[in-house]
Amino acid sequence: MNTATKTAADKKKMDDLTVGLCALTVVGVSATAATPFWPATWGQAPSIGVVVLAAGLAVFLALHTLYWWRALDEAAQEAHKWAWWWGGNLGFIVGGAAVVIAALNGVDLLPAGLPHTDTALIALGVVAAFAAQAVGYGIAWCFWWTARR
Amino acid sequence: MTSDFVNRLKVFRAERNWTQADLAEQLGVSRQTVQALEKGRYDPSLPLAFRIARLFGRPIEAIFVQ
Repeated sequence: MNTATKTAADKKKMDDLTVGLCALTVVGVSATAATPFWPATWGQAPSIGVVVLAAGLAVFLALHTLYWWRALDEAAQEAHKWAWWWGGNLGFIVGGAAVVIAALNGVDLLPAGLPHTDTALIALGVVAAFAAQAVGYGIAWCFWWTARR
Repeated sequence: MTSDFVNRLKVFRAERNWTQADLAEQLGVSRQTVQALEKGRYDPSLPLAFRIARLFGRPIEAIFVQ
C-alpha cells in the first residue's frame, strides 16, 4: 500500500470512528438503567449508558489519535515530536518555575471562590503544569514550521 | 536550520511544470513539507528520498547532492 492510499485509508477510518461515536452517544443517552456491580464505596451508580459512553469515548480518542498520527506526513510528525520534547519540557520548566516563584511570593493562584484545600492546590498544580506544557508545545510547533518556510 | 545537502527538487519539479501542491500530492506529503524540502530546511527520510527519486526517474544522488 503506498503512502497516499494509507493516508486515505486512515482518514476513512477516522470518519467511521466518528459515525460509531455518534451511535454510541445515542446508546449512552438512552440507556438510563443504573450500572450493575458498581462498588458502594464509589457513591451512587451512574447510568450504564454514561459508563458505556465514557469507555467508548476513551477508545475513540485512542484510535482517532492513532489514525490521525498515521495520516500525517513525516515532516508533520517530526514537527510534533520536536514540539513535544522541546516545547513541552521547556514550557514545563518555565511554567513550573513561574508557579513556584509566585507561590513563594504569596501570590494566590487559586481562582476566587475556590477553597484552599489540598485537593484544590494539587489540581491547580496539575492544570498549571499541563497548561504550561501545552503553551510551550504550541510555540515550539509554530517555531518548527516557521523556521522551515 | 539548513540541510547538509543541496537538492534539485525545485529544478525537476519546474521541468515538469508541477506546482508544489502537485508534487506533494504525488509524494503523499503536505505542500508545506515540499516547501521545506525544496528550501533545504528539512532532510527527507530514506523512504521519502526513494519515493522522490522514483517519481522523477532519477537516482537519489542526482537529486540530493552533498
